[in-house]
Amino acid sequence: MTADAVAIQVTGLSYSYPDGSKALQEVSFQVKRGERVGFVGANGAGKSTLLLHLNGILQGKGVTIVGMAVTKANLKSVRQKVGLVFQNPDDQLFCPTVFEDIAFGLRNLRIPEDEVGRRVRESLRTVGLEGFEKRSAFHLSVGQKKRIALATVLAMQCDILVLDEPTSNLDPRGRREIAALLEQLGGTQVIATHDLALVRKLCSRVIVLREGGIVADGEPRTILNDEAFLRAHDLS
Amino acid sequence: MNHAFLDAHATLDSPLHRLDARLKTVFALCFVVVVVSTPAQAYCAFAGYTVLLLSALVLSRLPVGFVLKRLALVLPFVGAAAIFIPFLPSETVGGGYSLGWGGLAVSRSGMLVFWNILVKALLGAFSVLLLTSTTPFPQLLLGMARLRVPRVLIMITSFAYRYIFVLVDEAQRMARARDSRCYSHRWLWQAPVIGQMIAMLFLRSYERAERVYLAMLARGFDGSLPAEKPGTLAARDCVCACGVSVVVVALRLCAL
Ligand SMILES: Nc1ncnc2c1ncn2[C@@H]1O[C@H](COP(=O)(O)OP(=O)(O)O)[C@@H](O)[C@H]1O
Ligand SMILES: [Mg+2]
Repeated sequence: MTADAVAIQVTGLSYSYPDGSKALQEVSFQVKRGERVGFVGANGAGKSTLLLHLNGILQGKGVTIVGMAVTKANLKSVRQKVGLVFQNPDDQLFCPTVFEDIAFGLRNLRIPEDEVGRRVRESLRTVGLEGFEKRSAFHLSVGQKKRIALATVLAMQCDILVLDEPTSNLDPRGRREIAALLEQLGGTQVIATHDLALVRKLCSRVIVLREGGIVADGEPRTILNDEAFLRAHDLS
Repeated sequence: MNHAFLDAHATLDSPLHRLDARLKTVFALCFVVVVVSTPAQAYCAFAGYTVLLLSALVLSRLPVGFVLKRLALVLPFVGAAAIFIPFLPSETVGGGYSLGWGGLAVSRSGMLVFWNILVKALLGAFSVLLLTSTTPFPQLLLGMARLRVPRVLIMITSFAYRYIFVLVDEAQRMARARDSRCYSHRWLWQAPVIGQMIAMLFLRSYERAERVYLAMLARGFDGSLPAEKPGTLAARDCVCACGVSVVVVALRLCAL
């Protein structure tokens, strides 16, 4: 495999929070371009901590994004490549209007204002919420908020989408809509979730985390149908 | 949950709603200054101001009841500050009214001071109320940005506006969870619960602030905020603002 075909390379990544809790221990994996990988694991397994490393919010040794090491010097380019959607949209949508929220990342990239407007409209159309520019995020439903949060990242046209629990707190219809949206978007995607149905439907590969380490990595068909394994790792 | 308590009618459509937010902001502030600087005895001027604001109210199509209710909110504060003033003994101006009990008397200068505070507070509140209920909050912020108010101040205001709803939600959920477990306000030994709730709210807000900051970093935030472009004013809006300004200045001058 050529280096060009690798989107994410993580080698021997460990991380402890300042209070001493070991969140990640010697994690290694590789994600190919265009691959859709699901990370599953019980609460506290380290999924969110891992995702924060992919976008350089946390900087550990051994994380490489399309050949670029995630270091302070590379942060800007890394964040342009990797779009991170947080679990709670209320954390991600902090502006008075949806437009401002989506424009925020674009303005940080110093993109001209008319291009900003165009991209905001386009990303809203992609997530199926055309005409929501002037709305305030706090008056939207959870499903709508989640889709707007996704739009804030889509507008930045990142190659790699990283999503933390995209279907949590959603009703079945909301889950279905998000799944359809992610399927239609394509590209390289990393999805942390408890939603095994979502992984079965979308992902060609699943990685199981437990207490900060990888315990399985392979096809969802084999791993997610092993009832004993799932129970052993608190996934069912 | 629905919280439209800040700018409930700001999305109506009327000539006043369509006016540029910058003009409205500057005008409301100048109007307050002019009103406050008007001498208390200039009754005609105050009548003029009132007519002006009332016509603006009619133009704005805001529900009158809503405006009156909001204005009434000002009264207790003004009242608390001013209610004793008419009874202050006055050495300088003669001619007070004795109320005939307990040596209580209303002095004319005291009455004037009371009127002065009351009318100015009401007119000031009225004009600001018209501003805030005909301008959606985001546009108010944009107007402030275009008036070169420092970006940091605007960011802080905008965060406060955005998260007050989240905070209210959180507080309501906590109160509900507390009440559902048979909490009653009756017992003194339950008082610490309130303290704990406030501490909890603070902690949650603090942690949320951290997560919001991370989400900002993830989208390339580097601590600097791009400045707002000043944008042009519509000629129609300028003409309208000039016209009304002339009237206000004329009213103020005739009070000299
Ligand atoms: N801010 C933090 N400070 C200290 N410990 C944390 C913090 N965030 C997470 N942890 C700990 O790190 C571990 C992994 O957490 P996390 O990555 O959030 O797991 P997941 O997303 O899989 O539920 C857990 O043991 C958790 O308690
Ligand atoms: Mg998590």
